[in-house]
Amino acid sequence: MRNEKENSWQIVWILAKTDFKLRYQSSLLGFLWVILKPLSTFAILSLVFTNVFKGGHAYSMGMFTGIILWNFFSEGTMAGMISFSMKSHIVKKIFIPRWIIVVASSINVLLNFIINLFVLAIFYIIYGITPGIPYILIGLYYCLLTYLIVVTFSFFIAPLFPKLRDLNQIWEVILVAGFYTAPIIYPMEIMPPHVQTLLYLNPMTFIIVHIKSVLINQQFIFPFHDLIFTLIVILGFIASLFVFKKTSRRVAEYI
Amino acid sequence: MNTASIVTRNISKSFSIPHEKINTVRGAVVNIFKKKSYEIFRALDNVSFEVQKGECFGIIGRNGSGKSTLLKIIAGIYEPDEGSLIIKGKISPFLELGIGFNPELSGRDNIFLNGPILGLSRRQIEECYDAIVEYSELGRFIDQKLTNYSSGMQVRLAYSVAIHANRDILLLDEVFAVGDESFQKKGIKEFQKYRAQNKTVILVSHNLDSILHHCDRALLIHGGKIIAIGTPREIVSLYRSEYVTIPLGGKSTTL
Repeated sequence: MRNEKENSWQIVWILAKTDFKLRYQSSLLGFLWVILKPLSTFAILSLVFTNVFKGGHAYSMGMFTGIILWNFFSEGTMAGMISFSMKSHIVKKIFIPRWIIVVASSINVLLNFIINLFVLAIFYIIYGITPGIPYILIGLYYCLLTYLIVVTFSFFIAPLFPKLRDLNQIWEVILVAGFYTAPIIYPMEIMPPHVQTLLYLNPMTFIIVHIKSVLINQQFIFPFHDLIFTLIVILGFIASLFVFKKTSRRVAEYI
Repeated sequence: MNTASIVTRNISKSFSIPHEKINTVRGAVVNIFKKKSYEIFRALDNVSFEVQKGECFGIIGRNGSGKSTLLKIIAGIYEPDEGSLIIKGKISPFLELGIGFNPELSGRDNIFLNGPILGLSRRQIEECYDAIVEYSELGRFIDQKLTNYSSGMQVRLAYSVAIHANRDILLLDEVFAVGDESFQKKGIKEFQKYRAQNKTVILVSHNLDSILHHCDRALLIHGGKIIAIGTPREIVSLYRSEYVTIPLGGKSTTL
């Protein structure tokens, strides 16, 4: 029994490692692309919006933080969604527990995210934003929650994509809406209260609002709300596991 | 106590083949009120048999008779619609060699990718690594990318890893005719080692001589139904006399 669990995680790891090798072994700037994407998004948006929201470095670093977190969510859910199709040559030929495929797809995205966190840290230091250790730890906690959210969404949508091939296009549109309903470019405060409530339907809104507040403003607001949110995330994750168990059983038949 | 390794009881499996393939969200929405016509193809109909521990059990039948579907159900890749399956022991399905192999990676990387998928732990692969390379007779080519291998070399590598995946039950689908004559002789020696270790084997082959030579019992399947189970001699002669010339075509009912 225990051997099988260990073997499962070894498969997760080797699949992720293989994907990583394949992606970067033949590209020159290979690794650099990992940080280039959020960096360039930040550069362009910063150019435009620092004149709209005059907040100096605090504003732009807040936006950069939001961009990196959002990238993690969007890339993670995308990778999860196409994971069965990408690994169809394995799923159709041998039995491996289906969760392995989905989780393995999130590992490389997680790695990219961690690298971008380091870049973010460097920028923070350059701009003199130095949250204390407790705030950094809380920030990391939000990152962990984000990973859980990514995996939850991945479990829900991965079995759907092989059946409905345009789901990735639909999801891309949803992700665009998500980017603008999470206060990444703008601060939450400029929205009227009833709009703010609506924005919280986006799971990343809570994360981004709170992580910005913790890291940039060194304000830890409302621990009560954090507990509720954590509970919702955990319940959502458990629900996704149950649903996934059912929906993924026959995946090999229609990949 | 039942010493059977594999017990199938009343296994049925149907595939519904729609007359128009709808695999997009757009398609589903547009056609929501359209009456969908489809065919039900009954791939397996009430299949029941037992394979005893240590037995070599042959399965023969025409193309399209349901052999592959049956094997995939036993291997856990497909789920039966009806019936039950009991398997005592871990299965090593050799339905295809080199599952997960990627041509852009070296032979070495592919061993470490394919091994865990076949159930080997990382430690086991490291211990057997030299033996695997030696059996494949690839020598220094092991560090070359698979795209540089001939097809014979790729198959030898895949076969070599599969041989070292030490499991209780083997599902062999036409894998003897692999490699040149000396390599095939090695394969048969390995097969005989398995038999000596009292491992259960299911052998699917169109090579009736290998069924006659290796199997203890055999099963004839046609049109998704079991026609007969008996000694290899009985089954092969039944197959040759009656079933080889029957025109192909499974049962299907149009709704």
